[in-house]
Amino acid sequence: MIARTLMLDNIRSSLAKSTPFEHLYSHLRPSPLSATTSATDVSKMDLADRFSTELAAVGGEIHRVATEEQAVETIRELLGDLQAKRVAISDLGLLRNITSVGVEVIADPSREVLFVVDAGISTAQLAIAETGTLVLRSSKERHRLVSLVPPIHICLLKSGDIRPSMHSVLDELSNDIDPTITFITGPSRTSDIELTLAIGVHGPKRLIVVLID
Amino acid sequence: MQAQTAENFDKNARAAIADPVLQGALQNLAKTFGTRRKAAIATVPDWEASRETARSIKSEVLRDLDKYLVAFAENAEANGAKLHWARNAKEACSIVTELVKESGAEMVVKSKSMLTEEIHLNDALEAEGIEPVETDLGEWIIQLAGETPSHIVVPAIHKTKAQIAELFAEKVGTDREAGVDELTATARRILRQKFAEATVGISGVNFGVAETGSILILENEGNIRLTTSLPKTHIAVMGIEKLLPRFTDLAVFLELLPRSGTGQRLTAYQSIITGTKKHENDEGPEELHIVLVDNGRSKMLAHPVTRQSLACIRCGACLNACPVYQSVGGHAYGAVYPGPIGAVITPQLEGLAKAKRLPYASSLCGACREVCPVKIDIPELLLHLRAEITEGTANGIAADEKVPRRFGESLAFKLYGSFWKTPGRYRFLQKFARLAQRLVVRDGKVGEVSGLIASSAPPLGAWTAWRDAPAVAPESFRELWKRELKNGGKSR
Amino acid sequence: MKVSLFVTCIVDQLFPKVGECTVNVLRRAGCDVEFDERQTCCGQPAFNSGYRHEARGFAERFIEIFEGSDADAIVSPSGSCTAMVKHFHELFPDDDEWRGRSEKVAEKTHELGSFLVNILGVDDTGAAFQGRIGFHDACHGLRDLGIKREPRKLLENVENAEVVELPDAEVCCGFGGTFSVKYPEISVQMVDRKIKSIEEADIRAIVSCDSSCLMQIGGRLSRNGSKVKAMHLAEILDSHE
Repeated sequence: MIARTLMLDNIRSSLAKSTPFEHLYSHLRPSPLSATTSATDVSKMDLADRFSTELAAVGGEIHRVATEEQAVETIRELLGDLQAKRVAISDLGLLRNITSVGVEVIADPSREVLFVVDAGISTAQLAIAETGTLVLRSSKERHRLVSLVPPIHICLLKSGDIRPSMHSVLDELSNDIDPTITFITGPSRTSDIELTLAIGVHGPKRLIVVLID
Repeated sequence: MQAQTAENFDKNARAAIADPVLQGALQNLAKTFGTRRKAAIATVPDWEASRETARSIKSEVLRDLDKYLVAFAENAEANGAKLHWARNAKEACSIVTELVKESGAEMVVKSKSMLTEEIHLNDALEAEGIEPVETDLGEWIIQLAGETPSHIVVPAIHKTKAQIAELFAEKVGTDREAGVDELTATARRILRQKFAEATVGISGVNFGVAETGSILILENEGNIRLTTSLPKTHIAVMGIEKLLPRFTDLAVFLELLPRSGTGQRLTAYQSIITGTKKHENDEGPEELHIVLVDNGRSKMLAHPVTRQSLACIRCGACLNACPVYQSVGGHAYGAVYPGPIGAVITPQLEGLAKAKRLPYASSLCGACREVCPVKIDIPELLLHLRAEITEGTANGIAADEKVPRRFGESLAFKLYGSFWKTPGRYRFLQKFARLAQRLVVRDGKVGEVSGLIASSAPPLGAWTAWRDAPAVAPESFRELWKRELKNGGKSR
Repeated sequence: MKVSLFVTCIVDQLFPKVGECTVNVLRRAGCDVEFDERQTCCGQPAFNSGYRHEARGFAERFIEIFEGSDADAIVSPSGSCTAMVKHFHELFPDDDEWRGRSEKVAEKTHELGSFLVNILGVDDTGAAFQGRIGFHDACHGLRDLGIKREPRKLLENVENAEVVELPDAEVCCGFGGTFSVKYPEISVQMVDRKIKSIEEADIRAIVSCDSSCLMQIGGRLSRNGSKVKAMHLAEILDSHE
């Protein structure tokens, strides 16, 4: 703990040195903070519409359905289109209804399995309309790896869980913070080579959201 | 590749300007980033207000950094994280290597962290027989090439696709003509192996939250999520200046950083990690270690002007906007952090004498200040450092070290200071100049001056090598005023 | 309105015509112009190179000369020199008295274009200039003083002139004081980028509020044998062709 004490002492003595000069730099002084609600242009009415538009803009795919049953059906169809042989699901009960002819659905997948399945399926606890972002809370569902390792991530979302902005989500979660909160905005990407966009680096190449209105 | 040094910035710059491949890459960077950033900030209702808010938050936390660090540590530890305190690079590397050795790992996966570059962590790990594997594509590319990053956000921006394909062909056996998608797929395939095996993951930290002990790390590729989810042990290396007071403060920074850095509204992934998992069977690492690193940062707190250096959120916007960076690229700076922010923090982190050229590698245009999301006044800092280098003091404080004076320049400015100030001596100098310039003025201007004259007046030689210079006017304004203009002059 | 002219040493010694035009323009706009012959330099070169001791000497001299004037405004044909005056207070961190005096003088000091449009409310100087004009936003004027709209307004009202907006108008010309000779290769590469867009715009004159930028751009244009003229805003505003 010596390093900690010494470091804090260093910081304190440095800050003390600057005190005589503070009055000369009022323009650098923090202005009183109004509520840090960044203005957002999203009205409550079109949250689902806005979310869909933004998700598509960042290369995500969106399917809108009216009921949970339709959602499960849509996923079955998707798996058929994708010609998936094996998929992993998170521990959310609803997903166990996904059974598909010729598709092995693995609940509680091990690491090794995650690396070889064709798709991972989970839900999201919240979403952000402004940016088309999914919010995954680690204490609510076991989806941290199933949403990351397989090359395709299929994610269920209820429109009632969509919030307008990042700020509104952080505000909501600030009193009940999970060990890990993951924000997902579209598929994995990079521009490291000549600033040219390439999709699907380490995370999923495809992000498919089934939105239950 | 021989690493370039800050002392040789002038030579490095000349070599960079003469390198057509690098110039092509830099032109691409300037054009692309400019356009993308502009489009991105147009989506924010009041960009200026957001900058002001972010700057206020940073000022608030830096003014009482010790208190916020204590709160951060307490809250992180209450959630299961282990905190370590490192005063300098050596201590930080030592802490990390010990943690890795304790785990028994011989290989670690690493995500991109400029701080780990700064403390030379990879060298320290390798010296202990541990293999650090960079997993960010840009960082992996330069690791393969044995180079250092040339940009804070896109480390391999100085390389063309062709050069990267050549490198991959040589090192991992891909096709020499491989396109971007194939190169990316190759990286994914090879690095996945490492992710599957690794038991220790090392990351940086973009923001720490004092109120909750949380850390936020953002990315586009997914390698950070893998690095911080798969291995048993997660070691997060964090600069002490990375704190924010409150959880909700993250919102405005998430608005500013992706737009400023890559022209995105949000990067593909953000992970907010608060301690370790609550239940044995939950996903995620069993151990979270947060290493707080000073390495010269606390010194910068000692004056309001220098303290703003610590507000930097490492977005790289200043690099992209800087006409000097656009000319010479990152390696020419010979330092871990290039560009405008590099020019002001390198002398403070590594010493004035070593980095004395960098504060002068700027025309003070202020484009950096204009794009900085946290409103750091970089030109003000550059001028502060120039005064410290030249006079050993600036803005009321003494410099940490004395830099040897540049005799010729010093003399010139002393003469300027005395002769140019009072009208009598000013006029004398004017007469002298009119006489002396007969040696070099032709057709009313000064063309290329060479030989003896150039070496006895180096600024004149340097100017006229490329540009004509104006002659001292046969009649100065004040002479014209006296003669004619004073009394109403000739109106037209 | 009474104006005290701060002509700047570079205009005085190298581009006196700019000073002459400035006086003419101010007079035509109805000002009574005085010129205090004790003035020399604002000390910007010393300040920018880190020689604050010398810079303080220039600042004190400037303040002593101009604070005694009963003029309503101190006007200068240079954005960077005006900006230097606004920064004088930074030279006196330990001296409240000098700092106060420097702030008083700074308040009264204006760049020419900004003075005409914002203080006098004049946006037409009755000038005429034949041909296409491009404008270069000098960095200090643009970013320190916020001057952007004013010169363009004035130029738009010049008869026969066609004002062309250059795509990189706000990009630095590469002068930067001693930077231009400390790192000439970078400085010249920067001005070459400017000149490329100047040539592409097919203009007769490149205009700015700062003679140091004009010296840099004009010096390179001249070396290239270009027909494009580097001219000061004051010269255009006093032109009658």
